[in-house]
Amino acid sequence: MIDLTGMTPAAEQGWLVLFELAAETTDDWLLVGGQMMLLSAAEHEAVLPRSTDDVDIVVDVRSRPKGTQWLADWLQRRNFELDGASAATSHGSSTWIYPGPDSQRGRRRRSDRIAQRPTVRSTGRVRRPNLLGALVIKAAALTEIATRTDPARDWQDASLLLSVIPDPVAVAQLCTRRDRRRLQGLTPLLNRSHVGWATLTEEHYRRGAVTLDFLVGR
Amino acid sequence: MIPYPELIEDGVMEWLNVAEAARELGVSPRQVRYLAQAGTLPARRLSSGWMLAADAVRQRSQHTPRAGRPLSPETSWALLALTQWLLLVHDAPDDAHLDGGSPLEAFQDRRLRHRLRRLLARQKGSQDWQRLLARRATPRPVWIHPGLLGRLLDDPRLRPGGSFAAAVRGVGIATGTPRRFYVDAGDVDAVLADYRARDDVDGHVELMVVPDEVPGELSKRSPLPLAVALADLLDSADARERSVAEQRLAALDLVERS
Repeated sequence: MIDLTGMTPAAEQGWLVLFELAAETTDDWLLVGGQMMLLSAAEHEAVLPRSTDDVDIVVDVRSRPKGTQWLADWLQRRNFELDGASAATSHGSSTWIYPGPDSQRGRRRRSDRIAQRPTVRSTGRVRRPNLLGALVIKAAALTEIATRTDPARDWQDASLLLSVIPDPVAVAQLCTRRDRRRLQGLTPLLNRSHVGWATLTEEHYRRGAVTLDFLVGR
Repeated sequence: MIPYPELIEDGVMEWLNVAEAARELGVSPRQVRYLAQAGTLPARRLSSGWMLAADAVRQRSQHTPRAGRPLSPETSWALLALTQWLLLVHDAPDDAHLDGGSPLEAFQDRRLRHRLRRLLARQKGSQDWQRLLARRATPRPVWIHPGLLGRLLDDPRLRPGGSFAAAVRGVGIATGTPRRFYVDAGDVDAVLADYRARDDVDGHVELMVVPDEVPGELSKRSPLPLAVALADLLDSADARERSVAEQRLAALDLVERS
């Protein structure tokens, strides 16, 4: 059990939706993005140096053909609306917002509304990548998606993930050749002055750099 | 006391420069620099030279070994082998013959045998032991990823020492992951590379580098003999650990005199 605290009301609401989705199925989707980072950081007693309201999930269209349509229907049944302003749809992703039935569309409006809800303690199970998987996803995002809006944040996420891997040798043994090729893209993080380490301590850097060294098999 | 802004973040209240530490310890500035470099005393290297934590210097000065030359690495390990035999005699006198008698006879060099006998007869206390055995290995503090510490125990090139080795040999001191490991000089570079270890005076692992000239049959036993563990405990900053070693070695003196 991982205890998540200090979340924004909007993020809390996002987690309640995730638990609801997980109660229906956990096989066809995976938590990624900021909430995955929040979870990994909390699990290893680290602090994520940013807060995020968004909930990002990846749907596995191999295990569930037309999975994106299924998820869209599921979200629409819960009053979510497709955010037409999303710029990420060209990568096969879409952004959904929860404006509520009687409010105007917009994130600010949604946050205001959710902020009035009392905070409750909820538990649930969600599928998410392990640390190696999360790191490979970050590496792929940095090296294979040219339109990342905030690459510095991705670098900082990758640095944090590297620094909390408990046993670098054990994780290196799980790396496939393809993983290693992707992780090669993170080697700029071997440099202490890289922006990825800007919010982390010297000890984080030491652990992270050694871990990366093992993972890419230099 | 000299205020150095660069040192404030270490949380140490008082620092001494090399000359002050040398005065406090009654040794040469060169010896102080050696102690700092070897990590024996907590120290920081600034552009102006070494600065040493005053508390640690004073603590050491209260336990300062008497003046005199430490034994060579080879003779140190010979003395440790002899000490180990005497510990066996003390713990199980009836079984001593199983070990083939005094290991002194195993040393071909008659002068060395004579010297070891005299050394044992002369020892008055733990400070003598600490001084004599100071060169058995060269301490090299390093930083190793904490997640790899458990793997060090499975590495045949590394032999855990200190309170861990003492506990393995039945001298009960509560201990967790070992922090001190003996390693042959010829293996050091490969060990550092394999674990991506880095030299660091604040490192949480201390490699005790055994010089090449020490015969393997003396230093390569794993787990390390109790005598080596006791020698390590005498170096400890923990008074309880020092006390355990002092008591065992004091009992050893009685065996030698009886």
